[in-house]
Amino acid sequence: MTERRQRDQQGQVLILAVFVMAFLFVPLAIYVIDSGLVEAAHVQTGETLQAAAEDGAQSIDVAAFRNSGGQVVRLDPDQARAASDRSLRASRLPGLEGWTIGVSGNTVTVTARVRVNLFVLGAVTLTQSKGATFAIGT
Amino acid sequence: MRAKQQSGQALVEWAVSAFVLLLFALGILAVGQIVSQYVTLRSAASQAAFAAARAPSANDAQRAANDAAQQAVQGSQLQDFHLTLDTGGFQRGGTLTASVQGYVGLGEFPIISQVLGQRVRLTWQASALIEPYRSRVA
Repeated sequence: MTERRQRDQQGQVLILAVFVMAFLFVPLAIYVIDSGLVEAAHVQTGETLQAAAEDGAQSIDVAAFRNSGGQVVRLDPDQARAASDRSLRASRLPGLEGWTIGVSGNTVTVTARVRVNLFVLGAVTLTQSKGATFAIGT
Repeated sequence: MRAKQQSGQALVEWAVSAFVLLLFALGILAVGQIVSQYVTLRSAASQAAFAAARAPSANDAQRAANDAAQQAVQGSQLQDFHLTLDTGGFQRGGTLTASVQGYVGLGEFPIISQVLGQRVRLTWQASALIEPYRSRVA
């Protein structure tokens, strides 16, 4: 009986180790690498969109400013869109698939889709928005 | 006699499995360290580029980029961090590029460092649109 039990237990540690590798360590390794890549892309996308929104939000309406003798200082929506667009293009953000720039009142909002190639799990698409508000004298 | 041999075999199995699992666990920790420093490095490049793009002169851009990058990597474990800024003449509306590099030390991961090396080199580049409207200093 004892001998049979010992025979049954042969190789059990190896099987356990294989299970631990397959169901714990390998998924954990994939998670560590791929989530790191996603986080890096997320952080950089956020910083780039913020900069693009800020670049757009400082586009004053030059004609209105000059015609009013410096009394009217307001955001030029078309210039703001163009400036944010130039900023995003200049950033050469990796995986940038598409973006939209919205101007509402004095606020410029930039939304972008970024494709992140992962190490194991293929690719994911991140969508993120950042905004900046036109302000005078701050 | 046979039972004693099997007991020895189980011990060897356990030792081999434990060693492999430990190695894998150390590997995950090392990769986690590299990934986390990679996130920091990418962020440092972006922040350096955006800080430089808002500076009033090429010299100030270099200073601003250095300050922003150093702030970004402060508290990280990156070694020999280095920033190179290409201002491209610092023309309004032009593009500048911040290239960063740093090393991640793996000395604290004994066996992994034999496989991956004592230090892993990381590099990244980020570009930004040089602000078109900011006043310039002579």
